[in-house]
Amino acid sequence: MLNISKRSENGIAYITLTGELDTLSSVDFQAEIEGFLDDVTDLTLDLENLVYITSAGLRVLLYIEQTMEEQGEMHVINVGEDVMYVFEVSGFTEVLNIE
Amino acid sequence: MDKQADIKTDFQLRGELTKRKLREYLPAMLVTRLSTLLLVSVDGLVVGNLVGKDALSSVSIFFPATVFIGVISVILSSGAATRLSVGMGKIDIDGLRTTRASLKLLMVIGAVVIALIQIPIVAVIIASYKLSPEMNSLVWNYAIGVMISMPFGLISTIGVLQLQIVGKMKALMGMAILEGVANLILDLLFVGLFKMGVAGAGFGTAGANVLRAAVTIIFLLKKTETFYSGNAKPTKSEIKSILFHGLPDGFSSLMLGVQNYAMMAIILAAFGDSGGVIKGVCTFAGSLSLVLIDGVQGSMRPLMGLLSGANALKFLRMLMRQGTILITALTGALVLVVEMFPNLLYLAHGVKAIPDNGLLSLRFYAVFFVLRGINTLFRLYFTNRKILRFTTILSIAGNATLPLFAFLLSRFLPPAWIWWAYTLTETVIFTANIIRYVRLQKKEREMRNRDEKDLYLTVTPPEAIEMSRRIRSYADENGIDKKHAFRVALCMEEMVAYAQNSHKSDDVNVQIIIRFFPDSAMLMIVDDGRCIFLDKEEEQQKIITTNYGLLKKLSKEVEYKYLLNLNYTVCKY
Repeated sequence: MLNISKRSENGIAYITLTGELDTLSSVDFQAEIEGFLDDVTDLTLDLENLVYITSAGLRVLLYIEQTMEEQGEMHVINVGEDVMYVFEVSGFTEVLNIE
Repeated sequence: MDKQADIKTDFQLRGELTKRKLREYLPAMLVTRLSTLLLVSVDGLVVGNLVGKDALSSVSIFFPATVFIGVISVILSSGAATRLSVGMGKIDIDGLRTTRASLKLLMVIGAVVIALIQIPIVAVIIASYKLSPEMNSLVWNYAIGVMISMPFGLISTIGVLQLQIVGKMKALMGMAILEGVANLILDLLFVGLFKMGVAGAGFGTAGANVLRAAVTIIFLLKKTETFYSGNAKPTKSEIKSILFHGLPDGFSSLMLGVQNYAMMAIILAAFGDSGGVIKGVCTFAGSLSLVLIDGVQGSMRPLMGLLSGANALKFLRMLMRQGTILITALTGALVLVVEMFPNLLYLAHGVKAIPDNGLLSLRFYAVFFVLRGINTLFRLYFTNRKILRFTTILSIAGNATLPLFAFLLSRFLPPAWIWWAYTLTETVIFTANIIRYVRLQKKEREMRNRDEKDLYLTVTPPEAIEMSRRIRSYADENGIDKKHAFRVALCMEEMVAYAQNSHKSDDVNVQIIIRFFPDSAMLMIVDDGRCIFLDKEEEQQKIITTNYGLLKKLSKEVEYKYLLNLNYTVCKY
């Protein structure tokens, strides 16, 4: 189960993910994020309560990162231990701006 | 509810994968065995119909000799098949190459040995029957052609099992049909057209065997890795191991030869001249049952080897259960047909005047088919589990009782009751098998209780996400390292997603074993998705976003093999 909380104002957006970004919820997340990112120039992704991520989730994050690279900046914050491990082994620590 | 019970109940091991594989292999194996039946029975059918009852008797009388000579083929083929299939299960590449190199050497030695020793064996057997000069001459006429075929039969027998264990069932079927049809055509040509009598049937067998052996060798060389041994050399220990693993089936075959020889002597004494005809028809019925039994055994052999190599005991038990049900249904149906229409088998051999007690003999004989089938599966199971001593002793002791039972029955009951000896013998073997199996299960249950953190599960793609959660919950409940559980759960989900994507449907069967140890974990996944294409360029990329790529990164070690059209992946953490 994944809960997505997002807000945006003047091109600055904040997304909080709670739960699991698995094979199924990644599809929902991608659908929800597509229109939302249109005018965003500064995105913060708070993963404090994200406990699980699969390759499908990584692909969505990569999509977001590539979109934001063209539009502005992206910051990933509060990454938990398990998710950070997945980022490390998959090479995402070199792609994402993790704070 | 206890999480372990929960996850085991909700995702309990189901048999779809093995059932599907059995369904895939069984038709090919049955056709293959039917063609083999055609090969071994066509001589009796052709000479019975075209030459006469004496010719049918001569073929029947010679049969025990072929079984004796064939023992060497059985030892080599069965031993090599077991060694290779277990080696594949363990994914032991170097070991496999050594086995292949040793097998090649053994094939050459075996063919030479067979060519040399068969002449005195056949001479002794035929002389011991004290046949009339006319019958003696008929048997020798038939024997010459069959003896030419025996060394080639060794190559074909080994080839059959090699094709089985690499899952080349269609090729196996094609070759068996080729050989069976070739034998029929050559027999009709030599016996029917050229009027060569019973000798023509022997030469027909020889021609078909040479053709089959040549095609088998060419196919194995061109289409499989069976003979690819790289730089590996044959080793004494591997040669010994092949021979040792082939001993249970070899002894069983030897005992079959002894049985056939002794039974033939007892039957000729009890029934007189017509004994050869009755034995010939009963042997044909027995061969029909072997078509079904070997068909099921052949379709189970690759999976049995694979699962034994992986020490997947629950999968093995499930496979045994499915095989037993299948073999009971098939042989049970055959028994019913024989009991209802025994005269049909005599008519098929051109015997219109059925000998006294002929029908009753066949009916009594057919009763043992079901037990024979189940005992054959037990032998396959125990051999794969390396319980070789028990299997070998049982083969010797159990089978040796057949002539004893037959002799005792022939002394105290009417002649037809001799045929109950088969059922009595199989009952003895069955009882011993059941006792050994139950004891083995008990021992394994005790071991499982000591190490309760093994999970045997079946998952479908829609269930994978829920199963991933359950694995992590299970780890929390049972004090298992959270990191290991996280990686196992994630890899499982990735692999199921991969299988689903590669198959482009939800109709993928995935069976899983998870083992948690104090400092490590192991995940074994068997699925029938498409073969995993290992893209080296993709693997070298810095960012991994593919299912299998992530699985490889998450695991400390990954072993992968595509066997029998199954993805077989073992991840260690």
